[in-house]
Amino acid sequence: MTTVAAVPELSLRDLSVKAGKTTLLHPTDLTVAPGEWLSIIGPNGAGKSTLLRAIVGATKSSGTITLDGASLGEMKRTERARHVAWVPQNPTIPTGFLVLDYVLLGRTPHRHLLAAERPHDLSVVHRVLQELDLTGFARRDIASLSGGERQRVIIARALAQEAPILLLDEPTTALDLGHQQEVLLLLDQLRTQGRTIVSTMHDLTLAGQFADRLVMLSHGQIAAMGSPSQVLTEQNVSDHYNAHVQITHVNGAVLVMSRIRPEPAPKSNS
Amino acid sequence: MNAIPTRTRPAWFLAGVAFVVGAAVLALLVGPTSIPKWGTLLESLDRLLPFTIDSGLNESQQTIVGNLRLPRVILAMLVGASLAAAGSTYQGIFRNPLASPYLLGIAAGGGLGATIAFVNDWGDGVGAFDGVQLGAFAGSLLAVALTWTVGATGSSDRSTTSLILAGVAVTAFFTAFQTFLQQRNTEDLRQIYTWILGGLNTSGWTEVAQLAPVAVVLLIVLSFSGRALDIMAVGDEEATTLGLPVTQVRFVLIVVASLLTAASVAVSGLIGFVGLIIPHAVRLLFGASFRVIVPLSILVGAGFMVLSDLAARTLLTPAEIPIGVITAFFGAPFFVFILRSTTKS
Repeated sequence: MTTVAAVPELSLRDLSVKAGKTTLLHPTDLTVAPGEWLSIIGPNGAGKSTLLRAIVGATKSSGTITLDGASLGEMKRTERARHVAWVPQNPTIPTGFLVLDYVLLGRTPHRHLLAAERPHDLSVVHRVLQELDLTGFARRDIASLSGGERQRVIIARALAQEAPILLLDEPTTALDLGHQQEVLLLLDQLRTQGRTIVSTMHDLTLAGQFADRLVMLSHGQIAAMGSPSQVLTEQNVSDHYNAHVQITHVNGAVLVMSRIRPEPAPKSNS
Repeated sequence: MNAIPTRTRPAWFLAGVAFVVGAAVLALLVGPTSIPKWGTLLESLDRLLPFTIDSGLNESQQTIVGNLRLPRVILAMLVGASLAAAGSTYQGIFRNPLASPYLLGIAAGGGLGATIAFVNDWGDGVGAFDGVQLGAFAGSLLAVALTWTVGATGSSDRSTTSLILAGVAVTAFFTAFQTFLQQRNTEDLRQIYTWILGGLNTSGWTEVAQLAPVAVVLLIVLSFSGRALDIMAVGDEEATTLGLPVTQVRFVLIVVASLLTAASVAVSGLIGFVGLIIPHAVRLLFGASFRVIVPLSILVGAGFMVLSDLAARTLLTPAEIPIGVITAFFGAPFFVFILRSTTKS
């Protein structure tokens, strides 16, 4: 089992992101408790991916991001990469790479740029492959994998970083129902082993079922935050998604159903 | 289950070394003058090794082997290795299998530098630190520096796309200048044209002494760049989040690969195709990891250039075919063959 010694508290203060003159993320405060699963929801363009990219350092931002008080921005790049791992929505998959070589890239922050991989790096990668049931794929070309297998490989690369904070951008969007559940259960299991998970989600029902807490972003700011039943209300979804939904609660789960069509009109035989 | 990651397998590496040595031996043995085979090899060893070996050759034979064939073979190795190494590095940096060492304007800059030197009679491209060589070297580096500077204006962070586009612009600009100068000085045209097509026919120990120290050091640096290039394969953004200082690494690798290319261009002219095709062929045959591609490209490039030069000087003896013609004429069909055979399997 991959164990992460101490999971720090992730804290954002006045975090904002601009692209030219456009503000993608307005100053945001947010604290994510150790071991929490926080899901970020919101309509397209609300700034969900931007928030994750700012935390991992893939985009420039202002404000502070701290882990137990230590500023991520002041860390060296490799140190930051040992603390925060990112699974992008559309990762660049290098052509012709073997699964093993790709997952091994996750060990980058743990060794010198010119150094060869040590036995420890390989053993971490093999353990991660085993945990994700990918051992048989180690020598396969990534291009030959199915969507679900590929997503597991990308998660494996992030796990190989052995970072306590795992950021996932739409980890289930490209997957079918079965693979969606498989990936989410896997993440849940990883979390119980000692990780904080911050994910963006499109599927509101799934988001509500797996996250401890939801943050709804709209136009680059937090519109609602709290437990799934607090955030997933017909009013919130209607206000920020401009969508008509019906929300029901079944066995503690919040089900968000799309209602595009008006009530069917009574059939007339005239 | 203990899979090991892709890395240069000793067998591949040994095969590469055997290819280079085999090509070199063949090139040493073949020539218009018939010289005893053992004597030729012993004489070559005598020149290369610090102790004396008696080759049993007469004086003129010793001169042919030691001062004509051997330096030419060594120079071909250095130039081929340099262009292939620079090409594989560029292909990694730009994540583009169509990248060649001339991507950022080196060919146009070197061509312009050489043209300026020719029209001003600064030299004829022969000997150590000749005016044409210096012109080509300076022009090459100037073009890359300009590309690097211009590449930052499109976006704040010199993305690969903005650098490639800047390279296109710089190439067009320098080529225009070069064409203009050539039209104004048609009497130098033949000389310039011959230089541009590339060749090792005038090479001697002076050129070797000039290129070898630079090339060997830079080749060693690039052979260790494979891991960084592998990380860059996931794109600038993801590579950054894995802890790689992408901009700095790219800068260093572009500087090293460009210096290597410029130094080769200075002594051999603009030999095309090698820097593009060799890394590509190596990738098709041995996989996509640059930890394999870069070192094997160096070996295959060296051997390929030695064989190309051998063909250039023997096919139409006593005339010499420009080596750029040979590399393309034999390299292109060979490449198509590899492309077809690997895509089938």
